[in-house]
Amino acid sequence: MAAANLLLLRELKGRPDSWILLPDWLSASELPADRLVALNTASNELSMYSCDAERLQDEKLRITAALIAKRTQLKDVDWVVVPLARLEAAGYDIVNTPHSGQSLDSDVNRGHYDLRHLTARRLLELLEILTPESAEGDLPKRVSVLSLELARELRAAEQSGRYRMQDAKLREQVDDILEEP
Amino acid sequence: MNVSAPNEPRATSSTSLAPATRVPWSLFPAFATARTSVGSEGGPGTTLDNLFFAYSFTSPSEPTGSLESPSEGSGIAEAFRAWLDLANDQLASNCAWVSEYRAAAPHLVPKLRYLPRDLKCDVWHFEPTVGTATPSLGGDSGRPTATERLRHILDSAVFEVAEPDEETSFEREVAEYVRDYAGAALAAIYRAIFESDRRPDVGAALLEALALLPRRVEQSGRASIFRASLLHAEPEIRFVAARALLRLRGPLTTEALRAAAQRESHPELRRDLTEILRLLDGSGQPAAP
Repeated sequence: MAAANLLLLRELKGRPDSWILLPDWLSASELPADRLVALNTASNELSMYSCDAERLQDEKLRITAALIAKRTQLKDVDWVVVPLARLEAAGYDIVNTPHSGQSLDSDVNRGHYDLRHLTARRLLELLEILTPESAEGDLPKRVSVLSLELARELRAAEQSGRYRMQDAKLREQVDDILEEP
Repeated sequence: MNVSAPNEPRATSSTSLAPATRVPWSLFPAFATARTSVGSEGGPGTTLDNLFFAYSFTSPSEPTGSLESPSEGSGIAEAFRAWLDLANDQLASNCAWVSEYRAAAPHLVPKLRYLPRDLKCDVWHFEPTVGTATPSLGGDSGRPTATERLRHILDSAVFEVAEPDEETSFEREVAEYVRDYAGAALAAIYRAIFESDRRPDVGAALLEALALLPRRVEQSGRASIFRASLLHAEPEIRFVAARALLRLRGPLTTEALRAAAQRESHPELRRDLTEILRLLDGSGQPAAP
């Protein structure tokens, strides 16, 4: 996978609509503070996953499902997407850290990156880079993986033996969602 | 429209209802009105006056109730007609917009004599959900009414940012609330979303919590609320409602989402709706909105 084609994905915590809808009171030069929730660091690092730009639609599902399989709740997941090269050009310290990947899929973990040595100021700059309103070209800055497709992918992963859901409650939710209405 | 809520029984009308079959309280539909702006349909800021929402479910064994239905036949159609009769005057003049109702329940349409011949309604859909509990009427045991309990939940809610695999305290409370109050809870939630001055993110959080409930829990009523919320003036509500409908799915889901995609004016929400329709279609190809 050529680094030039790599995208980095950051999971959005909090309400995803803060990445879509801007409050009326917000001036054009500002960003809503709620978006900072997505950039909660640990040890001044930010965890991200990578995928090939050409395969974003497939890879976002694979990455998300491999992460969700360790959780207890099946919810919609939203990501913000940025080219690796864009962050490199902005001078961020980006390190490939497969051992820090939290998913059940080793291939997904191999694509795990950390943004290191982040300061508060650099975090705000990152938010401006990630903001969908500054999207360039056709690249979507926010992508979603919804519960129905997640449930399908999780079941497919189990059936193919790739991995198993870790929690019975999660499996119940998958079964529930996939039940024919 | 001034009609009774499920947890606030009112006397039956003497003009059109024969004193016959007792209708289980659980057949009682919730009515609400809303002034709803839905963006581009019919021009920017189209206002839908008195959006009518009907929710009903049934558990035939439940004996209690305060409505009386016409004597011919039994079941949900009669109960619904009885309830509509109660509000006939208001409905006849106020039910200004509904669509695609006939597709959902064509056998009921001939009985709705007071409604327009070309009645359509895509938020107005009800079907029996066997086995649900009788909604609490509140008051008789010192227990708060559904409206009071919801008010307490919302007033004390802390919308924390949870880790992705954590159930929030709010989600837990809403789940317990719906379990305890069943249909009355949904009616109160509907009113909180459409008729209160709560912030839209509160309504969105309510819809999200409803979406996480197991499918069997008030499926029909929840689907009705989600479909109605596709018409809400606040984009936050529409955003969450579309996702919730995808998760729940049901007989009118595709039609409601397709209509929502056609009228949606916000480009990001329209993109989400298109993606949701693609997933519903299941073919992997984008579904034409």
